[in-house]
Amino acid sequence: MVFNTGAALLDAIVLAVVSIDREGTYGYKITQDVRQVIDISESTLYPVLRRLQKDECLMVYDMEFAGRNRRYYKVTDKGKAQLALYQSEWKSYSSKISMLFEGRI
Amino acid sequence: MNRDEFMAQLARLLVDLPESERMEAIRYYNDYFDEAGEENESKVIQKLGSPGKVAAGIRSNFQDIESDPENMGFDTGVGNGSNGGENQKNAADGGAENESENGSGQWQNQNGTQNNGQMGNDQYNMQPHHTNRGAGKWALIIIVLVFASPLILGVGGGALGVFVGILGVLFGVLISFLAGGIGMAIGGVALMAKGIFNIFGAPAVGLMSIGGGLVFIALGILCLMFSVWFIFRLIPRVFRATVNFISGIFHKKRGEAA
Repeated sequence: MVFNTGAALLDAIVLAVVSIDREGTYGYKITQDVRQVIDISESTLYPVLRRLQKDECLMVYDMEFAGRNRRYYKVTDKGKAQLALYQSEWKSYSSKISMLFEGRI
Repeated sequence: MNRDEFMAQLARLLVDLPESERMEAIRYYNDYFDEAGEENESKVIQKLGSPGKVAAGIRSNFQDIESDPENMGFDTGVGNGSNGGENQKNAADGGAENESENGSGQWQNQNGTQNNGQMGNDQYNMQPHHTNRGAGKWALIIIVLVFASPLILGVGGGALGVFVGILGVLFGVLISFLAGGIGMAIGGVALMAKGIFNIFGAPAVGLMSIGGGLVFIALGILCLMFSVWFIFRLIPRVFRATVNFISGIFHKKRGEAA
């Protein structure tokens, strides 16, 4: 992993991963999915989820699974708006860098 | 370390956080272990790193949220007022937060060194912790010095004595070369003068005196050159070595105290 993943980008990645499933997903699965995309330490995910939850971009609900109460995270409308913002920012940012690497400014 | 020990230690490390925060975190990681399954227990522990690392992340994240939500670049209007209970907690936690800042000074350090920086660690608020950590370290150093003072005085006194002795020897060598050099040079000149004076009355003796005089002048100059080198090269080097030695002790002490 060459490039540092800042807090904002990490938020965007987590929001994107959670929003893949319309009903949301649970912490362990979110961690595995995010790690498919970027190589971060497992202990990094919980603070991000907690922060997104506090900022009301994610909501939580419990659902029973295999005799346990599983906690699911789901993207809120505010979270979807935030994610859309991140996506357009990323498009602009990454395309500028790509153009630079290809020799244009 | 097994899962129960890990979780117990994590719970202990989070004890300075508000109850709801701690419970949420414990719940999350208990669920995490459950999801991974018993067979993956040790792998999960390995991947999580250590309870300290996990706790540090949770704590610093919590402090960031509480201290300045605007840092995160989110619209704060809704976030602050959403939960009336949350606001009360914020006020009451003013004191707890300071404590946890002090207590977590150490953990912040660990987090900084253990975390690969993949989270963009610079995003976390590290400034307040530096001054607290500095003060704590110095207090510890002073305490250590007070307790160890008898030993330090004894050993230090002895070491100082040896050091002064060495200095004395060096000084003596310097003086003798200086004085000897000057003496020989002057004596050489005198001998040469006598030789020149005698050159007409007793040529052989005169020549020998001149020769001898020149030799002594040469030796004298040699000694003087040695003393000059001594003053301008050797002493600064010794001085610098001593200074490095002393500052080395100080740095080691600080490392031990921390």
